[in-house]
Amino acid sequence: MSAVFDIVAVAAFSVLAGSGAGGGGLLVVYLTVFRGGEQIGSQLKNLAAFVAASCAALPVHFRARNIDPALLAVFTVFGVPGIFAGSRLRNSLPAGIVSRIFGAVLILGGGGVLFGVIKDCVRRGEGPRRE
Amino acid sequence: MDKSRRLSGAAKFAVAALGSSLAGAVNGILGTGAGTVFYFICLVISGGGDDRSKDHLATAMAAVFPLSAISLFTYSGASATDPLSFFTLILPAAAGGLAGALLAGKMRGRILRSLFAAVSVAGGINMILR
Repeated sequence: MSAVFDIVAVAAFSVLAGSGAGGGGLLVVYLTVFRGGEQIGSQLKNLAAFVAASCAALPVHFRARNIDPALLAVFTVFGVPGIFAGSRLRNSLPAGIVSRIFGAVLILGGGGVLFGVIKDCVRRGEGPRRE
Repeated sequence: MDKSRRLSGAAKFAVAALGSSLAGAVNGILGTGAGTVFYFICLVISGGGDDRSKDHLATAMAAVFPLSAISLFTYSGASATDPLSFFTLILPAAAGGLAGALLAGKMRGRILRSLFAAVSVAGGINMILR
């Protein structure tokens, strides 16, 4: 039965990843909190699921011309060396503090985007009433 | 006001280059989070707005793909997880990813942005609590 839950959870988080909304490491929460998995192993499974999901989703996004190739090239060329630097820093930095700081950044950033969406909705809602 | 007009081509390149180095470093340290950084870089470069949300999110996802693939290899040595357990993930993940991409084509940018924001906030809470 737990295998069925795993499959449903992976598929659900992959729908979010494939849509572009991202995964936010939510699969890691499911695997560690609800399935009792170890942190690194769960992060690894989260990465594997994301890679598989984006492999399937990317051709659709490319065909729909949603991806900016020039920007993607810059992101990849400068992002890949960053990842090696980050991997080297992983053991020397206090991961707990880094995680908390970045968590706060994600909450503020996500909250800002949500606030922008609500503001847009309110603005659009006011339009017809003014007419 | 269109914020993108305030940035010259060189400034946009600098923002993209520095930001993506930061995104890579974050993914290297935490194993997640690069997509959010890439999305915000897209917003800064384009000047924001609802009309290009799908493009920004899709470009961010495409940029995270190689980073996640590399992270997968750098992390794989740090865990004793049974490799066979990964095979059970791949099919539902690919099916979900394909369904997500097809759904995104039919969704409004505003809804996608809301989903992204909700996932970011949830991911942030997870990072603070873990």
